[in-house]
Amino acid sequence: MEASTHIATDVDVTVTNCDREPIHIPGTVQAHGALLVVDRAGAVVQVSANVGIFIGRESQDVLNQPCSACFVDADGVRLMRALGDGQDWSELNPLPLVTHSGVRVNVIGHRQEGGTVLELEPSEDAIWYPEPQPVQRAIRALNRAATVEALQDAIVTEVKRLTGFDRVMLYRFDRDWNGAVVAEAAREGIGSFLGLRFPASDIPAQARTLYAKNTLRLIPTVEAETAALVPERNPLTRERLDQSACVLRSVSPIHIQYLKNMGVAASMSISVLDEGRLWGLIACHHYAPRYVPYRLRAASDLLGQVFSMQFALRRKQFATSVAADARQHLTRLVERTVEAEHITSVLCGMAEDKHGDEYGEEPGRFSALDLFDADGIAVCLEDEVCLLGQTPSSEHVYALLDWIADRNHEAGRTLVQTDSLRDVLPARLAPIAKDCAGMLAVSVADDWTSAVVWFRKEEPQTVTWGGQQKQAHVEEDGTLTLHPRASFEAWQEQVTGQATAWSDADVEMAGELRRVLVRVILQRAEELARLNADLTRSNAELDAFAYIASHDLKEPLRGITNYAQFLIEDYADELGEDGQAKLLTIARLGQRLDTFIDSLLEYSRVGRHELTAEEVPIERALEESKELVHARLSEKRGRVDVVGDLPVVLGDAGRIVDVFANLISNGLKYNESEPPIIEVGSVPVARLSENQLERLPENHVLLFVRDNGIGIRPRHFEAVFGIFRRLHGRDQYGGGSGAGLTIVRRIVERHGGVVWVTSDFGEGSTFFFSFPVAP
Amino acid sequence: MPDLHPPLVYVEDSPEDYEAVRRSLRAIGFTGELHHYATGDDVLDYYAALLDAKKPLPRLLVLDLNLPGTDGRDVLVELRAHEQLRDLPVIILTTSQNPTDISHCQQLNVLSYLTKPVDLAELRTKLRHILAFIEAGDPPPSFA
Repeated sequence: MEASTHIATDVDVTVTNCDREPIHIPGTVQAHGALLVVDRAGAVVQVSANVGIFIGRESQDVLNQPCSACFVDADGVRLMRALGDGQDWSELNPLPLVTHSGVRVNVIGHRQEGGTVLELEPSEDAIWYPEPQPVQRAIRALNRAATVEALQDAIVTEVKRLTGFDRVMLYRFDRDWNGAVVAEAAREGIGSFLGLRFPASDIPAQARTLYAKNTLRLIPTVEAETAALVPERNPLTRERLDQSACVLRSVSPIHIQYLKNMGVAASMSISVLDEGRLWGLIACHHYAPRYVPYRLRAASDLLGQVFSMQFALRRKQFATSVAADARQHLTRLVERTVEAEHITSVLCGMAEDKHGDEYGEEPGRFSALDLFDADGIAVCLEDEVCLLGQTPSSEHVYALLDWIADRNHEAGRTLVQTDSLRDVLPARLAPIAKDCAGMLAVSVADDWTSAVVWFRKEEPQTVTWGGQQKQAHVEEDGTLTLHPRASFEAWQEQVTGQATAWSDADVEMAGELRRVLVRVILQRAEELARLNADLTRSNAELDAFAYIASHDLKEPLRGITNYAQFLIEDYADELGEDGQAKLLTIARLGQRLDTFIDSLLEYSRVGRHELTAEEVPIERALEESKELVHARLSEKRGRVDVVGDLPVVLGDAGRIVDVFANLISNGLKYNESEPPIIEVGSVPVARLSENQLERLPENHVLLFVRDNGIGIRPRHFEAVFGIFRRLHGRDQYGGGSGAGLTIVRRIVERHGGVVWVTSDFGEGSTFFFSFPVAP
Repeated sequence: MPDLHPPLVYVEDSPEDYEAVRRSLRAIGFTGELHHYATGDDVLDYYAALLDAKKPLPRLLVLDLNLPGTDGRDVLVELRAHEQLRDLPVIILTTSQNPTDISHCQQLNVLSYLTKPVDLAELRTKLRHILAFIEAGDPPPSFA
């Protein structure tokens, strides 16, 4: 005993013992009635010890005798006939008979393994039948209730009116079988239990099983004696009698103690079933003993069934209307997603809803967060995350999606959900659960790189329990006594990490949105491919256009220039010096226009033409570019010096040569030093300044072309890269179109690089630029 | 050196460009005949007539690319497809700097691809390449 006590107190005794208590075979009945078990021949095989009170014969005299002997002759015959006919007891019940000793009783029978069970209830007041009127009235009230809440109020009000109990409650189970009082009708002065929660252990599993089978139970008084069955075991089954279907079944002493602790003297409960599952109870309490006769119990049971049906109906209507609303939201969202340039903006409600009017609403903001009840949403599309409402940080969202992808991508799951992130996340991601408890995520790309995630806060944050649960006590003699909690004072508990569960409708809606997004994104990709093809074609056309335009511009230009020169050649004398000078100006302007046309053509090519990607040793590119600027180099008697080692980069060789040619040419052109010196080199990673490091793209090498020229004022550092932008008079420093640096920048940026200039005015300039470094 | 240079065929639709080339050729000392055709169709007819009459072909064709009707590119393709004109020496003198044109013409075995400069002096420099070829009977050194 010591050992077992020790073990028992180590566990949650109340729950464990309650769960194990075999309440369907108590071996006793409530003593306000008597019970007989008869065999097929009608002989009594088992009887409750208190039978003498009702029929004037003790159990020993009744056992193994025909049961008809318990009643007055005529009624004994009626009973034998009922037993013999194989009739349905549910149609006969209750059978009003007079016992051998002249007591009027109601006999309630049912067949089960081990014989027919006859339960006798005294019927002093059995002549009381509820008038049809109150029952009909109650049913009308239930039918009239427009909402689920009104229906709940109606059932407790009507059951109280019909039965006269002090308190009638509608008690609803949650998914963990904790109960909450969701409606209550109580007489004044006894307080309210409305809103209180009760732990699942208050109504243990085997009790719930019984409640689902036998929908009404009555305890007329908690003080009643119980009467043992004789013999203890049913001789036909050799087992204790299964009292699951009995009305007199005696109640667990734990339950009686529980009621006593609450101050309740009598109780009745009616089961509410939803598609066969126990949804809740209509629980009736009375603070004095209260017997409810069979007919009234049957009427109450009927009301319970009407409530169950009406409730299911209302809930379906409600679900249908919620689903209709959600579907309308979805339709709007889909319409706008299909039209939108930027899907994320639509999903996050950042775009105005111009369809508002069509739905009889003001145009306004509307997002995927409105599809169903959620506190926040993260839309992660095309490498961009948009958060709305209460969500984890974007870093956390990415971490969450990585984690989801790891666990679900291969399995092909595209929708995952939880109502307690805290319970499922690994420790390293635990901080995410601080912000949100519930998560419903759909993958929009196969690998979870694009996804929409809804979040819910923890809910409820505070639970008001109907009293604090207490541990069981071990008595001094070593026996274990279960003491259900004595106090039912409201007791609050903080519950964390749990969100309201996602409903089937929520999940369906999220799945629906996912299908739409996948389709739209696929269409977008196809459209993009089509646009790309269009772009390639129009690029080719533009190219042809550029050449034709340049030809058509140049031909007359050449004519003008040449003819001006012919005039000078042929009529030099007549023209005089002034005339010749003016014609020379025409020729020079023509050449200038020609340079512009060439620059425009080159710039347009640099911007549109596809770049090749090959390994280009800068040393070789530099040599080629020096050939291109050879004329200017020798004209200015300048030189190009290489500083340190030159790297190998990855890019379009021809364009890289252009970059060097342009920069060297500029360095020579805008240079008054003797001799002009151009230095070319690269900046080793170790010697990059902080500023350079910040600007330099990943895997790029920083190159420079430095000159000892005239330099650039800092305010022009950006302007020099603008097209046709010159800082000097057009005939100073050899003229030029001013497109060279624009082309340089275009080439560098198309390689993913950066270019900028630093300069000490009057001392020289250094152009820094980057290219991808060859692997 | 002969007194007269052999004749030169020049296809050019722009009268001003023709005039510039004509003047420049004379200025650098070209003494031969200059046969001028303004369209591709005309020059193809001219060669067809010479072949029919079994007359000798002029040594060199200077061809513009952008021409009305059959343009210079098509003229070149037709010449190279013709058994007896396949090896006719051709120099391109054009405004086009389009790399597609340049590589296309290279593949069709032209002697030289010259772009028309706006500057008259530069034009004369380029025409000296042509004259050198006429005088030496050798291809000019390279593409310019």
